[in-house]
Amino acid sequence: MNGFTTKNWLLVGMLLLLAAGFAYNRYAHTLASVPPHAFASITEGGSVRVLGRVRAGSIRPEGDTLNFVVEGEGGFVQVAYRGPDREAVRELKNLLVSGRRLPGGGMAADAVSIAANYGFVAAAYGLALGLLLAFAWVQERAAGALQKKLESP
Amino acid sequence: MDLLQKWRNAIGMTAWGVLAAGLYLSLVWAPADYYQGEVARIMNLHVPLAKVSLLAYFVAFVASLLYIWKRGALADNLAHASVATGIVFTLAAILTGAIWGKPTWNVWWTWDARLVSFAVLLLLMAGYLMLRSFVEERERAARYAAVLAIIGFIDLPIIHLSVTWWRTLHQPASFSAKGLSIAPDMLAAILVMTVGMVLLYVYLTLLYCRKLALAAQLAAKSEQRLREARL
Repeated sequence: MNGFTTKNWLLVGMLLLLAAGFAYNRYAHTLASVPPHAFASITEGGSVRVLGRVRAGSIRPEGDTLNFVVEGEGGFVQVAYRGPDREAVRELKNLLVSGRRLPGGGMAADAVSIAANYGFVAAAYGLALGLLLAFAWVQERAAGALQKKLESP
Repeated sequence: MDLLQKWRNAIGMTAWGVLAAGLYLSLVWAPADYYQGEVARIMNLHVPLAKVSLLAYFVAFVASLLYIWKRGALADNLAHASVATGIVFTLAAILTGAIWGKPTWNVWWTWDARLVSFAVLLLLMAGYLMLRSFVEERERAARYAAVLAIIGFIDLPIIHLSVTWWRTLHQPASFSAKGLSIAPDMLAAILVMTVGMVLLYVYLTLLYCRKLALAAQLAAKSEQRLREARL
C-alpha cells in the first residue's frame, strides 16, 4: 500500500490555495478602500471609501452630524458623518468610512463600519491547518521510509 | 482494517477536498457574526477540532478496553494511533481557541473549567505517548498505556458537562437537546468542516496504524536476522 504521491500533495496544496485565494479575494473586496493620505487624489463629489483610525479627541457631535478625523499612513481626513451605527465611531478604532469628497477637502459620510482584524482569523486557520498538514506529511514520509527499509534486502 | 488501509489515500484526498470546501463556506460564504464580527469564523475551525479531539480519545478508550480484554496488537495500535493523531487536533483546538479568546475575551488563556479540563486532555494524551516511549518492553508499555487511557476517560464527561456544572466564561453547547442556537448558514459551514476533520482524523489514524505495523514488521525482521546470525 503506497502513501501519498507528489501528485496527491500538489492537489492538496492547490485545493487549499484555491480556498485561501477565495478568502483573500473576499476580504480584499470587503476592505477595498483608500488610505487617508490618498484621499486628496479623489475628484470632488466622487464616491470614496476611506480606511483609517479615528483620532483620539476628534469626535464632536453637532446635532445629527458626527464630526471626527480618520488618520493613518501620514494623512488625515475630516469627516462629517450622518447615518446609523454612530456607536461604531469610537476613538482609536479602525473604521471604514463611506461617502463622497466635499469641495473643501473634507468628507461627507453616510456609512461607517468597524474594520475587522482579519489577522486573528488568518492566524488561527494558518496555524491549525499548517499543523495538520505538517503532521500528515511527516507521517507519510515516515511510513514511506519504513516501507522502503522493509523491502530492502 | 485492511480494507480501510486500501482506501486510506482516497479517504485522505476526500478529507482535504471536503476541508477545502469547508474553508470556502467558513471564510467566504457564511456571514460574519452580528456581535463578534469576523473573528467568529474561527469557531468554524475550533469546534470541529475540539469534537475530533474528544472522538480520538473516545476511540483510544474503546480500543484500550478491547486490548485489555483480548490483548490484540491491532487494538493496541489503534489506541496508540488515535492518541498520537488526537494530540495534534487537541493542540490545534487549544491554539485556535486562544487566538479567538484574545479579541473576544481579551485574554489568550483563562483558568476556566472548560479550558482547564481540555488542557488536562492534552496532558493525558502527552502522558500516554510518553509512557509508551519510556517503557521498553512492548507488551508492558501497551498494558500500562491502556490502563492510563481507560482511567483518563473520566475527563471526557467532565469536558462535556463543565459548561453546565460550573459558571464558566466558555459558552454552552450550540447543539443540544434544547435545540440549535446557531444560524443555518454558520451551521452548514461548521458541519462541512466537521465532516472534513473526521475524515482527516480517520486518514491520519490509519496512516499512523500503518506506520506502527511497519515498525513492528521491521523489528521482527531485524530480530530474525539476529537469530540467524547467532546460529
